[in-house]
Amino acid sequence: MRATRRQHLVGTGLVLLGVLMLASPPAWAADPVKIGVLAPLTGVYSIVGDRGVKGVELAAAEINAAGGILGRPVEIIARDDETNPEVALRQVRRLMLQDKVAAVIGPLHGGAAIAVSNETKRSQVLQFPFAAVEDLTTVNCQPFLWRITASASQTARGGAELAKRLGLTSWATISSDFSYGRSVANYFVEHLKDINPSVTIVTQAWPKLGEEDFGAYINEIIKSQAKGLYVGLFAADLVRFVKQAKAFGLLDRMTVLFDSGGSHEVLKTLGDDAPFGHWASERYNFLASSSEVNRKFVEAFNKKYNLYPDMIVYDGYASLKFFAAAAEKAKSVEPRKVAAALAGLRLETPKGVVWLRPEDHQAVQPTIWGKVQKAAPYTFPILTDFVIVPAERVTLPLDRSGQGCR
Amino acid sequence: MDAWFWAAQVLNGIAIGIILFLVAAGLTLLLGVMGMLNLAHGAFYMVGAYALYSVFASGVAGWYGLGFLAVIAATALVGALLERFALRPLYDRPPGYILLATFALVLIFDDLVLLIWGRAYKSVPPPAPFEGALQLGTVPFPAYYALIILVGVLLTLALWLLLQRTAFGRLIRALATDREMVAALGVNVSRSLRMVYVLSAVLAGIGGAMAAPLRSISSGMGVEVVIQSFVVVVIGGLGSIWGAFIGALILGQFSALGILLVPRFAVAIPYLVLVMILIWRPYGLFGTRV
Amino acid sequence: MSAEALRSPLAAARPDAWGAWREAAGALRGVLLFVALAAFVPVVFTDAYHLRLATEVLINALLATSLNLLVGYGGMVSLGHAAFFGVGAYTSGLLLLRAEQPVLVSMAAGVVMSAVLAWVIGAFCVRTAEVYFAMLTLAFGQLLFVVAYYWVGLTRGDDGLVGIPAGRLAIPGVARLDLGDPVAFYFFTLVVVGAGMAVCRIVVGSSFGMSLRGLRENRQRVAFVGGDVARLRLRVFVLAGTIAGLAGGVYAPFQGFVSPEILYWTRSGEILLATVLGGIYSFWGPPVGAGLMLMLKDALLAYTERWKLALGLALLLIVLFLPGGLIGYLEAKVGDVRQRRRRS
Repeated sequence: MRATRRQHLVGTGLVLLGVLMLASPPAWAADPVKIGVLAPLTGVYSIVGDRGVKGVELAAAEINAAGGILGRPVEIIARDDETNPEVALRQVRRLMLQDKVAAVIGPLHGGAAIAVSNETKRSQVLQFPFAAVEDLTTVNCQPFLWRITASASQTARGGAELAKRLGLTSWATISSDFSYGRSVANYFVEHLKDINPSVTIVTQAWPKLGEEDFGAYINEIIKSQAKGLYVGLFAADLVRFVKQAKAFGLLDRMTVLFDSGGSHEVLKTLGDDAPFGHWASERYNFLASSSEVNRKFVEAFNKKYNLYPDMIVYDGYASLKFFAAAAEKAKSVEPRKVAAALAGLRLETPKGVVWLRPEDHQAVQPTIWGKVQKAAPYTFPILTDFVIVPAERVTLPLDRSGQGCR
Repeated sequence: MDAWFWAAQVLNGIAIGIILFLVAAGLTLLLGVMGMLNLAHGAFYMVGAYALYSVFASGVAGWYGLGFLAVIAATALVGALLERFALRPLYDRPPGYILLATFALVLIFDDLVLLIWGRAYKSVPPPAPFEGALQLGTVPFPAYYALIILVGVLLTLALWLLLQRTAFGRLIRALATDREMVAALGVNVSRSLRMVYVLSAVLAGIGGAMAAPLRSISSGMGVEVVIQSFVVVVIGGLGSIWGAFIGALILGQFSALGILLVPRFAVAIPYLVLVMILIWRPYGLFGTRV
Repeated sequence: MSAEALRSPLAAARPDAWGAWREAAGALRGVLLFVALAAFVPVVFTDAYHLRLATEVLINALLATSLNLLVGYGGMVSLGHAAFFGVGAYTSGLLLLRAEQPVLVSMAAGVVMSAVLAWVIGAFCVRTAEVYFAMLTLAFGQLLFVVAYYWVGLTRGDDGLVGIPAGRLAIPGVARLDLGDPVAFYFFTLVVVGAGMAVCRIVVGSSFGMSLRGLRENRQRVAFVGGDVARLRLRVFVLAGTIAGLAGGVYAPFQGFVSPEILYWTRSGEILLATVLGGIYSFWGPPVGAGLMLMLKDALLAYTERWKLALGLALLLIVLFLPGGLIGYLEAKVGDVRQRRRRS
């Protein structure tokens, strides 16, 4: 069968593409310090990944403006992990083996982060995950993984402290049925029962990750007549849940605490449908601190991107700042030396003073809770009436953390 | 009273089922008439939702009604273009090629919406009179779900009328039975096939727009819906609109009640139902052996 | 045509005993050539990244070939094939990680598990046809995904199995390989994949393979001449699932990590796409397609965030303008050249 001209064109194009594929991206000069960012840049969590990358890039711009790390400019290489562990592994190998990065910031997805941590441990490259799964600093703790992001236990335990303060006696929880989601609800319940034994947990709902219709769960929760509800849902699932909860009138029947509900992007999306009057946490909130460092950070981000920083922006920003500070302290970007400098490092961040605990490599920090309100001059819902739960109350005791690093 | 609780759940399930039906109806038409496994069907669901959002975001009054006009226009246009340029050339090839093409289209659309509308999640509220909840005894039931059920039933009737009582409907049924004969009778088959494709796209888009006010709008939102609709179509039997209707309602009920009865196993229900029904009826509930 | 052939075209196609061996040897020529070429890859690409990519290409090539036994030769479009790959990977991974079994034992167990599951699932599926078959395979695949995702005690759920060791391979008297070394693992994979491809190639060239093709062309006719359609389909289903399990078995130590995503229907869809892309009507189409898909996606991911759009467009163009898949196009080009030579 003779091939037509059209087919020739496509075929030739493919051959050229094939040649292109075998060639690697151009090798940069040995001078810059390369930092890889692994985050979802496509798909349903792409908004989170995008913001995370922007946070890292802002930090890089500031570091470079101040002379770089040990006199060398910082270069950011962002790669999409599609929220898929397989892809994340392939991409992190590219970052480590081809791009030769000194550190990897990310990924966001818990399973991907755990898989990647195995590779970074093997290749001895620093990793600052976005993921909040507890395992990364407990059983999967390893010498090169250091986490700035607040862990699942920190936020949930902070929620339990707030729950106790609110004095409600019966609670329900709803959280996605996967590793991270389960841990959020479990840490909340466990800590609440610990500090307030008279509390009863009347029902627990476990919708699947990506659930579209929460009606049955909402009805169950209303039927249980709980006084308080702890919501571990996040991102798109949370948007759906809040809208449906509102339509069912659940928000009028009980006090609700949203573990990730303070997310700026989520509140912006919900707009007038936001859960006003209820409590929400954000691992970092741009209004929670009036410090100079925070004010400058928010202003700089706003100026560069015309956006307000969501919690993931802070995670990316602070992670790179910690790396830079540790590298300066160690006078080297060699991962083992930087890791040694990271242990016990204290830094003032837009969130306040944050300290990296040497035993489990987790940043010790307070948990931020606030009430969802509308307030000028902001056109989107914000958090006010902040309740900052101190770090000592929310941090996991050492006998339960850092097992992998012992 | 407990009876109200279960009644509310059943109604929930019906609302979910209606949305599923709207998406599945188009799919079963495509499969019945053209034998096409259209993975890109979910893309129309997504486009419908985004189109409604655009109208809402423009701030115009009566956005909900106007939005649906926009949805129909947008999905019809996109559907017609896709059919003509990306799918028609592949009709004579083995079905794997259409599958491949529609998969490619899903990739393209998932990225296009990000380019056009940006990454942030989008949300539309239920239209003003339907924001709150009705009371069924002591149990709340969202007014918007009631609207979905009402509109959905009307649309189903309209679709039935279209297929049974109009010339176009007769044409579709004829095409499903014997395409060659229809062509022999002098009908412009390719134009008719395109109209079937457009109809299926519009139905999916309407489904997406109707679901949007109580869900979120994001890239890739069509992927899960497509699989659920395939399950519905297969359960109901390829090409059977009534089959799709019954199948969608069954699945909706199983979802709503399943969550309450077997909470952690509810995820497996659609697939178990599919397997069981196909064991009992290998061509689906109302499908016929081709 | 002889009277015998009329009675049973399948019987007429069956060659004599020696002929069977000759057939097999001829068929293997292609596989041996493939293995020989692939053996040169570590010479050209010496860095770890490309070696690992090449290993992944080999595994995907075997997976696509196994699927094509169903699609290209049997005419059965399966949307649940990744499930067998996943079962092989999980079995192999669990034995390597938890029971600290040697790699060959773990892989063998993976093969056995996927064979058994393919037999059970196949028994349900092969009686249905076309879209129903596709959806049934998808449903079973999703059920296996649900098991992997929610049976946390066994599989660790969405966290996945981490830290699967590649271990050592000791063949007494022959070699002692540390499979942690990318080069060693590449050659190990090459041997495994080569063996798998050889099995597929022999089957395809045999009378069984011919019966399959008959099945693809016209099922009714096969039933008419006395072929047991359901049994034929079940056999090829089990074989395809087993080979997929082999690919999965070597995937676990390769990646060092197994998570439920590899069982999800979109993964099955990707394998199917790679198969169709390469060309389902030839044996070498799917492996080439698998390699192409992987490298295409890898390259696009490296260059642009808009890789989905780029990949989608590339695939669409290929589908629209290259009817025989990539192999078909290449064959056509070769045909062109041959025709021109003959004329001149």
